[in-house]
Amino acid sequence: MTNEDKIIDVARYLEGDMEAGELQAFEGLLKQDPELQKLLTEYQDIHQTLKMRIAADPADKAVENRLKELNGQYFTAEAKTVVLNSYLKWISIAAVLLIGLFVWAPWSGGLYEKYAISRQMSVAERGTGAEEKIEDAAALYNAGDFSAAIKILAPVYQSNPERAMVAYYYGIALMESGQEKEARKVLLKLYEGTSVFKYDALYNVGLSYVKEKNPKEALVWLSKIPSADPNYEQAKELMEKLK
Amino acid sequence: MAKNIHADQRFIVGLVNNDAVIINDIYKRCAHKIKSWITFNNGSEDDAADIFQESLMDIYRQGKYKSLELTCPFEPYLLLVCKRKWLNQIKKRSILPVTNLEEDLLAIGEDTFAQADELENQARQSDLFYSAFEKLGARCQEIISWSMKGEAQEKVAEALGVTYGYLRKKKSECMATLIKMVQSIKTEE
Repeated sequence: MTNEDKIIDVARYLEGDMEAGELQAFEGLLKQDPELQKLLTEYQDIHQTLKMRIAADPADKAVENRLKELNGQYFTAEAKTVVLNSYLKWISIAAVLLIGLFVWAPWSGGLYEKYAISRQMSVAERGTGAEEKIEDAAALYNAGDFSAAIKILAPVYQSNPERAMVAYYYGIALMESGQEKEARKVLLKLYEGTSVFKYDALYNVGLSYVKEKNPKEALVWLSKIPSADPNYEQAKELMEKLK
Repeated sequence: MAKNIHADQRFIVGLVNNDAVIINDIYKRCAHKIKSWITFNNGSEDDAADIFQESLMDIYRQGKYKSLELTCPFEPYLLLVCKRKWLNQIKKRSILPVTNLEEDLLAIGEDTFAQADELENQARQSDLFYSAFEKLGARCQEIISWSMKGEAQEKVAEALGVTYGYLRKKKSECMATLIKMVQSIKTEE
């Protein structure tokens, strides 16, 4: 068996592309062939290293956020002691309370910003023709120019509404540019389907109502997110704040 | 021979599990040391915070995706990783360090150096694998990226507009091409 054949077999074995009989034979071979074992380890190493880079788990973000939070606690300069006269002190307290109220305010647009997902549109490939256009739309989307992204995404979506990735980012771009109603049409269609964007779309339908300051409707949609979905915890937290 | 896992492996496990108590403990033990060392070596508190966070994230990823096994104490390991990272940064920014890193770390055991070397080696490997990945065709890149996201393969097939059987076959082919590319880059080096 050549090195190339071995690589293909290892790939097929680890990617679940072998039938039962073939799989059993391969495992027998694996026990006796140190070169094959080495190749298998190399394959797993490359796979995991790459996964870390191109398909990070949402849980990684949660760890990063925790570290950021602790950075604020452990790395910022010690608070300086400022002596205030009592009049100034009360004004300061009032100002802090007022600012706090606005930051916390559930009626403000802050929740929408804070709980938004999919801020970056990622397109794996650099293609030609229509694909190239999608890449351009992604660049505009990522730069926050949603109206320009919509101009490119709208005809691509119309010509193939089944293309989940385009539909998803088109929906969010609509929402971001203030066309929540239109956005929901696109996102709900995705939610009714079975694509990988199904529950991300659902989450964004909920979020579109948050943007419109309609917590009642937002709660209806957010509560439909299943507990196994990666957005579940975030949705739960958002729902608590909307109640 | 089986590795002797250090009892401080619990810090790696805590990081991987996003355990608030353990992560806070790491900060309590190490943050001020890094803050003083980096600020003493011409960095700011923000630099120190960034370096600390990046180092912890590197260790976290190795723990999560590559089952990192710690054979040395955690604290000197983290400090060494942070210090090396900062030295690389100041080299890039053309700032002169005040202290000499190796002199500064005389008390550190060989195993700690070896483990920090391994982390740097992993970063280089990651660049190499990624450069091979970038040389793949657009379709292969798309298939591999999607497949690694952990979604059900049927869903991936649907998202990519292909059949499940085709995806399975194509994925193995793409990965095999990638492995061959990595091997040939390694041979060239």
